[in-house]
Amino acid sequence: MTTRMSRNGDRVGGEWRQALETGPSCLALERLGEPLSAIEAAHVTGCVRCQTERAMFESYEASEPLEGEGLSVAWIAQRARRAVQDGAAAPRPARPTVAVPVVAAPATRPRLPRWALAAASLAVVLGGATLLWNPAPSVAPVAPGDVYRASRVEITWPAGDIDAPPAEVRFTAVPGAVEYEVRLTEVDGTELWRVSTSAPAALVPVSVAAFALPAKTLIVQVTARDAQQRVLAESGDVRFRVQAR
Amino acid sequence: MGPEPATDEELLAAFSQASADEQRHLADQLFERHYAHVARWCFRITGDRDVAADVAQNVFIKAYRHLGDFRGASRFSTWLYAIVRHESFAYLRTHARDPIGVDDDVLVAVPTDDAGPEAQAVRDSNGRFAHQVLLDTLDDTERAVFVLHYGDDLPLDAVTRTLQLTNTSGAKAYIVSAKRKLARAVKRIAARRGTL
Repeated sequence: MTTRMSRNGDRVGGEWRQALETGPSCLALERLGEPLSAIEAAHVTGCVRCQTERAMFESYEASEPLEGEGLSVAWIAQRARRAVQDGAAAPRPARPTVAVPVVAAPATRPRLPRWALAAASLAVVLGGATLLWNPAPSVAPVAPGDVYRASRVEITWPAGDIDAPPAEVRFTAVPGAVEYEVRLTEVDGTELWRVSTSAPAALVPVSVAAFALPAKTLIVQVTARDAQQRVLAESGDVRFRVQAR
Repeated sequence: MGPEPATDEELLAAFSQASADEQRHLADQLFERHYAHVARWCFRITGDRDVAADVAQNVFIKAYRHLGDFRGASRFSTWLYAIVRHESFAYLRTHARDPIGVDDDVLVAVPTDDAGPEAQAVRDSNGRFAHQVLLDTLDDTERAVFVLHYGDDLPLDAVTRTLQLTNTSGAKAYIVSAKRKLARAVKRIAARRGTL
């Protein structure tokens, strides 16, 4: 069974990580397929990092289709092809430098259709009105020490294939929760946006929604916390993508 | 328009001179030669069709956006591999279900040749010494598993898929034998020092 490293294990693991890091003499990835100079060859002879990188690159280059993976590979390739054909030419939105809790508007903002702006405006108005009518979220009584980890936040929007970049994130309320943390990430875990809210919904700034390029999958996560900042429930990863037109 | 460019490099040369519309067409032509290869790698390394599709999609979108930065210092396929490796490893590290850890037996400390008093010089040389110990002690597969698991923080199941290991317990078996061999090697090194 695998267990988290002890403090000593962390230290030892960290030392190994450092010892195995790419050094200044190591081959750049772009050099892996090229003929080596004498100096590079001498370095590779004594460097397990470079030897591993070369072996992996050779394995990548030589990989032949295996029995049974053909359909999956074709499907994955088709998805990538569609993403390039439908989405790659879209303007690249500037990435916010600090995502918590307010996202600075990018200097060059991609043009969004009018309906998207109208939807965002409507969501802002509705969200504000909701807060005015119900400024304090109802909080169910929580006995000391109670932790509702068994419950789950259900994200109701966005999820799956959607028609337009989401103007808001909506989810079910969790009893006892006074704060919800909403995160939007890329599939590789890169965080695009994070916000805390007391209501079971969060408005997505237009500059953030612009990351939802056609056919590009993004992940939304919500964590519900109680007044002591204990985690009551989590949504897990919910994927969505704007359908390519 | 003349005949279609035949090589990746010719397509890239045309790309740098083309209008936006033509660029998209040229990129599509160029990528067409690599979609299946990248898809296969992403599928093998992630072990999940949907995740692989996400990773592959990101690879090509990033490649497209940076195509103008490609300077031809390497083959295009190698340049693309650098993106594939970065994207797939980043995904695996971020979404590892199990933290990188040790089993019942603790990982041996990095072997050092720090008999002398100059600590900084020793620190600089430790990495090289450790590499030499790994080279002398482990076989090729054990080394690769060790580097990917401890150097790149890849979970063992991902290492198994990446290296296409077909033995029953995959990378775990190699890590266990590597740690055992390293422990013996470290003992031998310590014993030699004791006799000096």
